[in-house]
Amino acid sequence: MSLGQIILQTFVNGVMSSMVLILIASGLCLIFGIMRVVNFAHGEFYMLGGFGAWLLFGQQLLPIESSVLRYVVAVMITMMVVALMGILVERYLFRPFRGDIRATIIVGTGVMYILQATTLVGFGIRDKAFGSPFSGAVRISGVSISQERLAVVIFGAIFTTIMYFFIQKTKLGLSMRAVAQDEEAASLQGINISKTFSLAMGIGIAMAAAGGALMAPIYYVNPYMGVEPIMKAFVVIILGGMGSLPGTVIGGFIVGFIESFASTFISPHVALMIVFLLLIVVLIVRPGGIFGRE
Amino acid sequence: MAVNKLNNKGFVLFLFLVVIAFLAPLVITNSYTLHILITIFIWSMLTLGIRLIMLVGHLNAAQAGIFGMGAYASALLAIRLDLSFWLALPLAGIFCALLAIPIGYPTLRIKGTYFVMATFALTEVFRMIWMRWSGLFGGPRGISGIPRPDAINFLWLNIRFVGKVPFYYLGLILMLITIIFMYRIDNSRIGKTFRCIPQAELLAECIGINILKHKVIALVIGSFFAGMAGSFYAHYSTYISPWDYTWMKSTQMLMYAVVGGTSAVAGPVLGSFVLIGLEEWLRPLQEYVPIFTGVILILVLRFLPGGLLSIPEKVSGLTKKEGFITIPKRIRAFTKR
Amino acid sequence: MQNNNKVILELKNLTKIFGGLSAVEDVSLRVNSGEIMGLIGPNGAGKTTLFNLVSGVMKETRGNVFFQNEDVTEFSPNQLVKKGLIRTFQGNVHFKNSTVIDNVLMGCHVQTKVSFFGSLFNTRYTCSRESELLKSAIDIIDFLGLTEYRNELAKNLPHGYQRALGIAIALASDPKFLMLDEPAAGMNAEETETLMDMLRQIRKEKGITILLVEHDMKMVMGICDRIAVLNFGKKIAEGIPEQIRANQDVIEAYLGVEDDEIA
Repeated sequence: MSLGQIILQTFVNGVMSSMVLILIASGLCLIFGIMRVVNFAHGEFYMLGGFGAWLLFGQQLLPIESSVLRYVVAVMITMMVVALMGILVERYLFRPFRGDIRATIIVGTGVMYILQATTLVGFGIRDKAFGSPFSGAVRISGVSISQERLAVVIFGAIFTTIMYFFIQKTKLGLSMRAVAQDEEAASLQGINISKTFSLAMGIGIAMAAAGGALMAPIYYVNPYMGVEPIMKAFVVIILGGMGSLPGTVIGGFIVGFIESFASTFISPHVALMIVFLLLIVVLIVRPGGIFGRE
Repeated sequence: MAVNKLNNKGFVLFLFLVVIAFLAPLVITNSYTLHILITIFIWSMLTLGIRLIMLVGHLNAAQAGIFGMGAYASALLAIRLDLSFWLALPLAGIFCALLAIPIGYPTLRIKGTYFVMATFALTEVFRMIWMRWSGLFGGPRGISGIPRPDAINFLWLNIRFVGKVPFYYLGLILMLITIIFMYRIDNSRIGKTFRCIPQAELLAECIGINILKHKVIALVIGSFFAGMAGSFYAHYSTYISPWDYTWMKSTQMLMYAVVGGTSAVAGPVLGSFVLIGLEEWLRPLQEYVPIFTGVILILVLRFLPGGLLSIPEKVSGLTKKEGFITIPKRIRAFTKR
Repeated sequence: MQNNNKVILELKNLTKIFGGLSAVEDVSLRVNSGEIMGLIGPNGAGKTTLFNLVSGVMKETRGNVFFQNEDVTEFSPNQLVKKGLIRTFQGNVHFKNSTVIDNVLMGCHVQTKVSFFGSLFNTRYTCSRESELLKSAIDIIDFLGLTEYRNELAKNLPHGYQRALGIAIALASDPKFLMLDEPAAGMNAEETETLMDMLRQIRKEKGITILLVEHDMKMVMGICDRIAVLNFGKKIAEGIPEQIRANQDVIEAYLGVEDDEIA
């Protein structure tokens, strides 16, 4: 491959990485912005999304002919089920500790352990792979982009756009934004805080699960697959500003591209290290991030 | 001036436990059990360091990384520079203490949540440095063949570090040194200052307390003991690798400290003892262990915020009056960030 | 700037702008050594912001602060404490889970020259210093009438004594200049009288200059040598109580507030 092709390929990988990061990170951002909870267990919901896709699609549990349709349905069901789990976790495990961010962090790590270990016990540690619903690839100027990666980008963009419109244009979205701005004022206006929290958690977790489900055909599925993405997602939301969705999108692209290019031209290990160093530098120099709200 | 002294009952209990600990190897011959106890000693040192930084209001997720730095430093000093373990041990501690200064000053001035993330990231950055810099740190394969401590030939003592027993005593002594040091800090002016900071940081600053300096001091002390723990671990297991020091290990340390309770020095030791003991007892069900740990952690946070230490208080229904230890017990005493 | 030994605090054109809004605008002020000065104004006039600027808690957008003829504009709170500039906070701010005596001992912190290792190993020097500090702390506690609550946890103190604790902590820091933020808030007439006596005594016995923000007009008129008035971040009047009482701008600023609050 010529240098130009390598760069193009890296660019494409970058778009894909960015999309996944945006999915995961917007969930984190939403949860933090509305509930002031730093969800350390978020990566595990990504992981559950992957397992959901594997179970429903990979294990041929759905009686649908078309593999693409089967896959889409699997992803949707997974998103809903995992979102429900997230809502329960929020209601019974995070809610009692509201106001004490330190405690929610610790609870989050506890939940992380529980989800990881439960999945490990249930499904074993070995990676699971499954046949992709898509076959073939698209060629652009000599660079081949597999259809599954394209699917990640397309579906990711669709989900993110839907979420954006939901938050900006619907009444429920408005109530979420109100709570994010000023919880007390919002409740005085008659907004049901409890329902708003559950909704925010549900959406946020659904996004993470979507990320996992979309990535599942590309990489392997295993109980620890959420560990690395969550750390990168934290970098993204801090870079973009912890309560800001536009910031998350921009941060997602920045981190996604840095990772992709550093991976290709240096090494994946160093790429990760650069991302973490970026996190530390941003935290020290401008913890508010690009669109800082805190 | 007995404002903050552990009462006599506590002291007698402590002495009793120390005596038992010293006599234990006479009764315990199972090498594996001794190994578990040694592990508990190491983790006590680590969690006590975590506790100190928790007292000033921060969750330090870099402890695993510093633990690793101590281990690597000691291993390299012994292998490359041919230093005796007895020199490498304090040097590793000092190295980590010094390392804590450039780490602490920029990071401890940022808010709590961000500090946690920065320290998580730092642990991973350290790990990647060890993995990439193979020449010095041995890369993913780590360092093996770390020499055991030199024999002690002093007066009538002739101790060679073969088998578990000498390590048991060494570990016990190191842990006791840590405990005593931490206890002295708790009861000193500096310890009281530490505990006041999370209660009312702005007020503390406005009565002349340099908050950042004090937080860094807490980090430095915690890191010193983590470094020594690292050195001990390196020369005990004779093999270290980057996989031993992940951010998950840091969260484990935090969990043990929280479960044990941070209101007194005994807390983290108790937490380490109980949770490591539990892990061992559940060895046949190894994969289930994190579930237990996670559940216990959440239950403790919810129903027993003071950790296991607060059980006697709850059981006897004592209210928190002029206690014999006036330290913020509940995690909620941390300033809201 | 006049080189005047009598002026302990001088503010020059102090300004603080928050995102387009001036919380404090171009405020210049002088506090004379040994006086009790009042700072009043309607809610939101910028009084607490001014306190925050002077005590180093907030950075000013423009302007300078001179303390004892030294430019302390850039000083951090703990640097100012070492110079003798101490402030209290609105409400009851103390170390809630520590005892009263520990709280006051914390205040003494600025006086401690206790070395780290000394405190660790209880050297003789440390012990003697600690007992000196303990004695100062007990003196302050007695002075403010908190003696019977010495070993009580701060959060368990009866309401009236909590305020006294705040002042005790401030006194323990060995102030030359004491800034009190609404010390009489929530107090009844009797408690306010006691507070006024306490402040007079502090000034008399310890020679401390006092600047206080207050809403209680009886207290302000009764105890202050001079008063400055803020409204919408600007200083609208400054002078002795009689002048302020009669000042048209001041009366207008307070219009809409009950009559018996003024004079």
